[in-house]
Amino acid sequence: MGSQRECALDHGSRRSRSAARCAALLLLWLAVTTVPGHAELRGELAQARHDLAISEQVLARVTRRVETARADPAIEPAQREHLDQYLARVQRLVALNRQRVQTLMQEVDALPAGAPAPASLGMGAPGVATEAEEIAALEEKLGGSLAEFDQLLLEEARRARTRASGGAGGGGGDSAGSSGGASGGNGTASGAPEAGGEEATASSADAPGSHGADRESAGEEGSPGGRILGTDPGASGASAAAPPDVGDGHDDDIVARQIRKAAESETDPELRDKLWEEYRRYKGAQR
Amino acid sequence: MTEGRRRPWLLLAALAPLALLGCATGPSKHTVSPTEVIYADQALPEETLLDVGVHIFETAELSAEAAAEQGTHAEIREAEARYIPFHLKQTLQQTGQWGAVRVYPARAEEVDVSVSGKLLQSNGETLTVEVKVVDATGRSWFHKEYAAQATEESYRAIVNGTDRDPFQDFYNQVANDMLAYRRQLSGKERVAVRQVAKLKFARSIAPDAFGGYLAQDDGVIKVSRLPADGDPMAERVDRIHAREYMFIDTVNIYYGNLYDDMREPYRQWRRSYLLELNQKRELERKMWERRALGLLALVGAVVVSSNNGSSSGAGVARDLLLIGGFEAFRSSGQFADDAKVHAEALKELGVSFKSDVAPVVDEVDGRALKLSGSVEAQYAEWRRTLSEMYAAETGLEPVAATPPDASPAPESAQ
Repeated sequence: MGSQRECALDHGSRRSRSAARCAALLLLWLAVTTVPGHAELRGELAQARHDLAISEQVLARVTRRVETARADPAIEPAQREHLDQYLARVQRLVALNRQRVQTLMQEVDALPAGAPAPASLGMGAPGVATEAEEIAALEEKLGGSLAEFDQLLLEEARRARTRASGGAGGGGGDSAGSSGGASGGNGTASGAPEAGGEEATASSADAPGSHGADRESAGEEGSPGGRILGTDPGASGASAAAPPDVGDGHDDDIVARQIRKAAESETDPELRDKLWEEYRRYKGAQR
Repeated sequence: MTEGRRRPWLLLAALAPLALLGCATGPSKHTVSPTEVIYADQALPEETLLDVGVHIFETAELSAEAAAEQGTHAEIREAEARYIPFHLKQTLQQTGQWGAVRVYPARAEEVDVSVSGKLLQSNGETLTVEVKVVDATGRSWFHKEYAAQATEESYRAIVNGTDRDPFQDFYNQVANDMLAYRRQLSGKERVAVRQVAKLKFARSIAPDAFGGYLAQDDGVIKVSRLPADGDPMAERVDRIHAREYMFIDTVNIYYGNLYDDMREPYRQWRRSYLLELNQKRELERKMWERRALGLLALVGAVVVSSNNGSSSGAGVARDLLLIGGFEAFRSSGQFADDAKVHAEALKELGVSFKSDVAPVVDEVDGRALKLSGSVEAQYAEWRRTLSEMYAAETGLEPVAATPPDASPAPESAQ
């Protein structure tokens, strides 16, 4: 009897151990099948994007080649047709790749919030935090490098300016007016009137300023429509971003304008502060 | 010959000049006449202003003989190849018709309008320059050879203190020709030129991200798409582009120094050259006049002697002609000697100016070269950083950077 009970207990515990083993195996299977599934999907998306980028580049090249061929009379019609077919094929391929990327993006968007983000191919930095950290680190590296470069250029500009003030001759203004003294050939008409009255012919008495003056007030004289020399033409009126103590920069020379413009267009606050500091120091040294 | 047979020949004869024009690929020649530069009388919209990059000019190969003949030196040419672009920049800038105008130490494809030139001849009297202007899209604006002449009158401005370049008409003409071409472009086309220039720079610094933004269409580069507003990569490129401008502006300070240092001695050299040259020519003219006169007198003496051999009057006339002829020859020799003195003075002027200007050019080139080296290294680093950022942000492996405008490699679509 006693041995029967022991046998029954032993059997019961074996069953429970077996159930626990089954549960553990099930969990393990779930873990194996779910998490790598997300990773596969994201990997597939990255691959699809890669394929799309490459196929777009190929399309751009093929388009250029086809256009060149169309303009070239030496290319035979059969060859052109062949190229057109090839172009159509690449266009279809790009469309398919684009569709594939869109579909995969929708699938990835539908994943649970906690699912891991796509790994950066080739960078070995998987995971949201790592990727963001990596970009932040690269931004910092770029900002530091730009700051170093600014320093190098400022030093160089200062050196050049010192050299200029030490040795430059300079003089009055170069008139861009006609001399009338140069021996002519067949006289060509100048200053022809134009629709819209955009321009006007200058009188020969005008003397728009020498380079010496140019360096002191570049672009301000004789340049009603021109951007100021030494400024980033892509940037526009960012003086609102200037600290209150730096003034409006109306008396800046070319170097000061460069620093000011770089500071105004700088998006990195730390780097911007450094540039403004450099601007103050430079302006201070001038006085 | 029948009418029907004659027609093809007439047609060929009529088409021949056109065919020749079509074959001509060199610059069109243009003699510069007194020219007023055209200033802008109102502010032009910011987005349509084109930036101009004037490249350091090339210099035509100058043999020692040619240099001696033209009264110049290779070193002077090198200095002029920097001085003239800088003066052209000044002229363009002062018209107010353009955006930023800069002198570039090397060829740069990423500027809205590029001006390149080749200095063919330059001394105090003649300036011959080949000028080529293209825009960022690859569209050629014009290719001309300008020949300008200066007279002593042109240098009077220096004496009067008005400080006007004796060849200012050349600069004015180039500025006006550029303006004439720019007027043919619509506002939309100007904006496109600016976008292409900007994207070319973006492509050169971040080829992974901006490789596919431009396309070639019938030899002209066009924008195939634009970066989205707030594109972080485009913003980074803009920050680097601002540094590019700062770098070029810094180099321009050096070119400005060279320009300032060179201006007065250069003008004095050119003026003195012209004065000496004119005096030399005047003496040579007198020398040839006297020689011709002497020759005529001797011929006259021979004629008189042979026609009236025995008469005493004829003898006197013959003697007088002989004496006059020999005197004319003697004085022509004096003029020749004086002309040689002026020729020596011209050489001396060249040597003196060369020794003044050569060290300044070397110094400026040295600084520009050193700075360019640092910039190149810096750009290589930025390219790497941007490539890594692109990979991190998009999950794409960096595509091997193809240099701008390189011929495409054989492609294989995936």
